[in-house]
Amino acid sequence: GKELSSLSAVSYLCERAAEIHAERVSLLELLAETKSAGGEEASEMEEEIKQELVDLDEQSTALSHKFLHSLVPLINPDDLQDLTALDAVIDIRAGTGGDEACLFAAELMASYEATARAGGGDDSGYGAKSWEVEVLSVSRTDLGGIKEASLVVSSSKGGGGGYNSFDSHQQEDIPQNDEELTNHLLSQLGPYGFFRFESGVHRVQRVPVNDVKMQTSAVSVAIMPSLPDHALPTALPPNELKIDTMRASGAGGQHVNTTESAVRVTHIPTGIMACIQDERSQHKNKAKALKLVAARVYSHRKEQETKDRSAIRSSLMGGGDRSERIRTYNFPQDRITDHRCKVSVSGVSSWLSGGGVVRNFAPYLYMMEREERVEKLEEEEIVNAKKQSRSGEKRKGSRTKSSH
Amino acid sequence: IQQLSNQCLSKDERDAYISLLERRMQHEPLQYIIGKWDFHFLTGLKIKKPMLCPRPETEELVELVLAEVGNLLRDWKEKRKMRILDVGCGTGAIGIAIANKYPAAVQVVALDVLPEAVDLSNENAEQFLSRYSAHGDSKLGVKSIYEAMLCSATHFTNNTTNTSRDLSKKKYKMNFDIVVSNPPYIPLKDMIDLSSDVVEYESYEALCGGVDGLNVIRDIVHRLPEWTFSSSLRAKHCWMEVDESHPRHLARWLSPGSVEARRCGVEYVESYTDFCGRDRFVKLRVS
Repeated sequence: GKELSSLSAVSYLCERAAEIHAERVSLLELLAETKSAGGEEASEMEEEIKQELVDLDEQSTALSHKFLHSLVPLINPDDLQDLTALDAVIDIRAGTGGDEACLFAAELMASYEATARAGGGDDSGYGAKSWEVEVLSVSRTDLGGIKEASLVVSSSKGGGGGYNSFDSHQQEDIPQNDEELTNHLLSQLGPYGFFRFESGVHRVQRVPVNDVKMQTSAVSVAIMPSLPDHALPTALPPNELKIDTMRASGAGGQHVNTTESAVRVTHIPTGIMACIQDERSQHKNKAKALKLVAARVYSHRKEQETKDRSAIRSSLMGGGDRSERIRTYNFPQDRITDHRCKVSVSGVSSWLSGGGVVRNFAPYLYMMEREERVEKLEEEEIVNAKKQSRSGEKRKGSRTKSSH
Repeated sequence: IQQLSNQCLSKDERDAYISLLERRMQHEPLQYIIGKWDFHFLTGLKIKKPMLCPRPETEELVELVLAEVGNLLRDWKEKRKMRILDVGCGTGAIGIAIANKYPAAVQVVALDVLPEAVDLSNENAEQFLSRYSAHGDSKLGVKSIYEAMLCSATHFTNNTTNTSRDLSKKKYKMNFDIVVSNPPYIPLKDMIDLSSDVVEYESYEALCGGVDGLNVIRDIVHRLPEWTFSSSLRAKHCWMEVDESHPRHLARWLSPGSVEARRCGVEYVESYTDFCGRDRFVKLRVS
């Protein structure tokens, strides 16, 4: 059913393309005739025909745009479920740069929180979805920075706009231009899909508060999909977990009153763990720790899968390399540059405090990732074509042999 | 937190803070000093001396009961709400945490022998559960979801009447579907080893269960058949938090098919460990 409707959309486009081509051919013939006819009327006709050809070219461009969108959507169909429906766990860790890195980490965290609370919408509230932010854990420094923090951004009904893969591939729905494409994309993304390209190392260059020399610091961000609660027991079977609490010694129970509620959950096979002590309720700490470990384990497994699969030389497909330097925030030059899509914007402070950074860069990165997919498809085409011609030759060869 | 750390305290605020510190130096439990703490998903549960400060293990007891409630609800054919009895409610933590998860499906009756505990439980219920009683049973308010009453386990029968002013002469149907309790269970000999923040502040009655710690537990077992009496064939379970030494005693005493089990009408089903690996929870079945 789904495949049929997607194919029908593409076949419609093919028909349109054929129509345009046919029209073009007949117009060109007409043009040639008119030119050879000569005269004043003829030159007027010529102008008209040329204008029609220009219009036709525009239609053709729009059509190829639609073709691209139909055949290779911005959101990889393989990842559709994850990117539209899953919540996001955001790990932020201050890297090199000491206090400065910690301060910037705090600013980045505030920026992500603001974006998340605005539901991924822009300043005017356009495109906002109802998302919630919950801080799972945070480790603060005395100066107001953070050493590390984990947040979870969740959408109340799970996901972006309830995008249903190919069903909405009606001709009217296919975006006409880049802006529509961007809005269409952003409206479909759930928290994980929205934040996913923030994974990597963010570099900041500025003069620290109590210094005169410019300093470069780094903050690393990891975005992981957060599994819904009901999926946790399957993803993290209890026998694979070790749960440590502060109650180890003494008789426990009614014998001892304690306010220490720290819980550490360790996933034994991978060694991945999380320790949460922010909440007063031990149960809540355990719930948060499980969520965090589940996200980290899932993400770790996916990364392993990506590495194991045949060489993907792209940096964006499969989520990207977490240790890659992805963006620089240069305060003196007042510029944010994303090194992957090579896009820069000015006004670092306002972008950070307003929280629009993610929304701004995400579309470019999705388009870049799609290009990589297209390239991969083209490569596969070439490889397949070679294979076919080789096997065709082989068959010819064997036939010739047997005829002797 | 950033703002708070930059504030300067006034003299009154400083004095107040210092007096709180002094109380802590006397080993007064932090929960009493602050007046509230978090339990399960109840944020800001009011806690007052001498009611027992809820322990983290008890959160696991809540989870065990919630799992059973969830299971029962899947096949729930009764027209009435599921009825749960919380014996020895203290701050009300257990019953309220359960009602908080299933406010539309569940009705909790809670008992305690301390008037202060009854009042505190009802107060906490008002705080956490009143938001659910806005519609429907609005005449009864929160009481349609949770109600605490002054009564001991032994004295709670179908003839018991509520002596409180607003609900006087009310009687209670003895058709509870689940009984839960975190009864006083510390054996007498262990009472002397308790640290001062427990033994000097928390109520003795809420801690000590007699010589073997099983006094109140025995009272509960003897009442279970009467409390859960109904024509339904559905199994009625009792979940309790107990001392480490108790599961094996109970397994022996109420071993399925044994003379005692038949006499009491209650069978031992199984025990569960807490997060420290100690035998902490038992499940009994009314046979």
